[in-house]
Amino acid sequence: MAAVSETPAADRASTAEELLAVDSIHTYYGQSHILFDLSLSIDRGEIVALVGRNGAGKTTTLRSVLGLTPPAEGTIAKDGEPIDGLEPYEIRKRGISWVPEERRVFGGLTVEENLRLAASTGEGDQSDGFEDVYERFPRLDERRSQKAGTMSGGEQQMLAIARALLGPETDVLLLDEPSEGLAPQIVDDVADIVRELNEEEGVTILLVEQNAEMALELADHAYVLENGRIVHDSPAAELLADREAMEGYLGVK
Amino acid sequence: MIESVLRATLLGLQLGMTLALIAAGLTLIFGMLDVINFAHGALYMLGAYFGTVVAGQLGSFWLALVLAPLMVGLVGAAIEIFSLRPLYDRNPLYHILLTFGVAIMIQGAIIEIWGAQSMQIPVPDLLSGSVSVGPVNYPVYWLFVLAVSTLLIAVVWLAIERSDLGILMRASAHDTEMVSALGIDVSKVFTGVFVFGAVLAGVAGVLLGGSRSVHPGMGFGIIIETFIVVVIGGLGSFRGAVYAALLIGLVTAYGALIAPTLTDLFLFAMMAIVLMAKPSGLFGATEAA
Ligand SMILES: Nc1ncnc2c1ncn2[C@@H]1O[C@H](COP(=O)(O)OP(=O)(O)OP(=O)(O)O)[C@@H](O)[C@H]1O
Ligand SMILES: [Mg+2]
Repeated sequence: MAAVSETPAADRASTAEELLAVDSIHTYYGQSHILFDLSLSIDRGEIVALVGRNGAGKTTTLRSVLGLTPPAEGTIAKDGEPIDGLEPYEIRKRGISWVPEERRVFGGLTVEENLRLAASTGEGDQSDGFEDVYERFPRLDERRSQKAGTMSGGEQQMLAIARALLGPETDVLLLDEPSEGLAPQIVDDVADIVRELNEEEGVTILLVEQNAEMALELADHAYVLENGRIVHDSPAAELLADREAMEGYLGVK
Repeated sequence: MIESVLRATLLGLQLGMTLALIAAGLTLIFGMLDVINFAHGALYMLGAYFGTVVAGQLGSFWLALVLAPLMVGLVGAAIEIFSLRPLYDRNPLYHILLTFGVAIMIQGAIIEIWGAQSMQIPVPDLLSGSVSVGPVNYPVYWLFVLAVSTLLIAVVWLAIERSDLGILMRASAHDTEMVSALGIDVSKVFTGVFVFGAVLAGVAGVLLGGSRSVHPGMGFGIIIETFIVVVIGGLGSFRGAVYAALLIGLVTAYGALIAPTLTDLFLFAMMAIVLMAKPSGLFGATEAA
């Protein structure tokens, strides 16, 4: 190959290395069947958007990958090795990190304590990771001893992302609606962080969003989920340009 | 007059601190595992019986004070791993039935092995007799109980506030699933907390076994008082449990001074007032965001 391509997905077919493979999973909550024969593939270095309306099953897809709501059927593999059936903590140790919907920071703990907890599962000295995180998120540095629950939504979102990056090395970050409830200015900040993590740190990203336009502008590849099924699968730019599909699937005019 | 007040204060503090040892485990287990452990009184009782056995067989109160709680911890580990763990996803009613059943089994086993008569843990010479505290002549052993339980509670308090383990415990109490997604094996944390609570209850059992009688009814006897403490302090709050235990200890001791027949009534009235004024207890729900 002559040159390293600018956008990792540009030569998806030829050099792509599959990082995460979700193959034909079916997931249930109790008796209710939520995901139907769902398959996804994410290559190393990509940003993949998973979009769809309320209740489509986006969060459930992430929960399936994370082992929080294990699929009843189908397989999930990371770097070619099956991870379905593993406990959530084992899946995290294999490099899959999660920034949940509503952020779920530990509100009664300080910022520093939230981060210490996340770092505690990593191997060896984690102080470098700490400094990196504080450098990337100066707002958190200023607020080390503030209780996380008293911070603004945007600050909590930064903390949730920082927390996901500490501890065992993160290969792929699953972000669930990071822009939810944030002011437009802060949404831009979050988008910048996602892009930086991807470009500078080489973190592969699976981005779930209601804010489809924001997600598709960031992403290389896009999947659309409807009633627990993948109904569209294309490069993100292609979906973004397809007005009919955008309106039909996502209600975006 | 001053003498009896001073005496009651010492007694109340001692009562409160030992109660705190038992209540701490109950409240932490609830806060993290979401289980109301009705077997907690039975674990306390086991501490007293194991203490009696170790002190009797090995002839050392000090060994009893160390070994008996560890033995209770082992029993706690067995209860958590083999009986509670399969039930976490179930309705809380199952936890109540299970732990209540375990309490009855432990009580039955104790009667089977040691009989129904009362026993006592022999106290070493060093700790027998009494000393004067100001104008009061007070048993050395009771002061010892106050000192040991206060020290333990202080250590646990510091650990919860400062150590990584304490952070982990507070985070798990808040959002267990999130903790597991950070790479932490929460089932180990659960076992650890249950064992920790059992050990603290076991220490209280040995300490009180040296001053009160050790008998098969003591488990169910203590659990009501402990529940009142935990409810007043706020379910799940360690700090709340300690403050409430001291409050209950002092009210019981002063109550005995003023109107001995009414102390139980005082306790229930206090619980009712706290519940009406602040249903989550004095320190309840402050932990959560
Ligand atoms: N714990 C649960 N028990 C039962 N059903 C659930 C549970 N969580 C979600 N569901 C159902 O599963 C379906 C998919 O939910 P999911 O949360 O995955 O959707 P989503 O795409 O993330 O939606 P949103 O954009 O609103 O977050 C919905 O119909 C929802 O009602
Ligand atoms: Mg969702």
